[in-house]
Amino acid sequence: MSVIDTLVTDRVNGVKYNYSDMNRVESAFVYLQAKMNGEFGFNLSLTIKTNWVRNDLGQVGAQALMEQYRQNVVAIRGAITQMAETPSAPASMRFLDWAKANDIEKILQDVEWLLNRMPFAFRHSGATISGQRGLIR
Amino acid sequence: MNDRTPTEVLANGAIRYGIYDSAGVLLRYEYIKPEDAPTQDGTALNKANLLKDVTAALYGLGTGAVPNDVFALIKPLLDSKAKIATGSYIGTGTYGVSTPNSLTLSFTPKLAFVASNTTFGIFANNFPKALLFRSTTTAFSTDPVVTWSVSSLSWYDAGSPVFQLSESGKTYNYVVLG
Repeated sequence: MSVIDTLVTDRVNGVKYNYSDMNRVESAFVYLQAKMNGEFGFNLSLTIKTNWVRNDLGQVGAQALMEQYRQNVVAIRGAITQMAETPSAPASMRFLDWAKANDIEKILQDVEWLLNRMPFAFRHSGATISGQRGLIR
Repeated sequence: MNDRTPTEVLANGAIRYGIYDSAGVLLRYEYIKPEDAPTQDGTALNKANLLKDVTAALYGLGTGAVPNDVFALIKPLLDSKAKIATGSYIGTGTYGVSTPNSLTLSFTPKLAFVASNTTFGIFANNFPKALLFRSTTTAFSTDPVVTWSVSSLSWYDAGSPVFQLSESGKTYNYVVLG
């Protein structure tokens, strides 16, 4: 089980988005960045904050931190061509509603879902001829 | 570079392929994966092994770069780097315009040093004379006549094998920079 398994995508209208949600998502940023860079050769360089506390959102500079949070979602989503059904990243964190909050975490789930399938499409040295299509040598 | 990103993969890793008739009509899907029990999978031919984004970035390339893009950038970098050749030869005792010494190189020489245990010569880019020192005297010579070319350096001394750096049986070591 990874942090991806803890992501929440089934919020309904009226559910609040708070600092604990952000810490969970930020932890997913950490996990995905390490996985993508370490196993798949990406070069993500996210600015990640995993220590949000209740009062952070009312502080000076919170808007910039929230935008950084959103940009992380954009960067992770943009690193791989996504499935048609994968939501778009929110255009802004202002007035984030329950649906957009779900979208953020669904994006991260979908990225990991794709990452977990990519290795099955990898060809390996010794099993492939340059220019070859198909599967059997 | 970008790795293929499949969506139709079974939990056991089998990946979907289509079976078609000769008219191009899809008959069905089949899920297959190698079952050849390899002792090792082999190195995956993927972004992580062939060209990581962080490596592409070292060359100012984006995430879509392929290895060939890097190779194309490396060649002029290699060409622009200083080159060096080292080696030695045994003097033959010959000297004069008709029997010059010559070093053939894979690059255009710019600076050369040739030395035995008694004589040391300096050759500088396109300068038509060499500067020679002897360990047995404080005098020096600028008599040797030098010819520079695109891939060689040759010289002779009209008066002595010593100043042609060609004393019979003596070992001469050289360093050529280009």
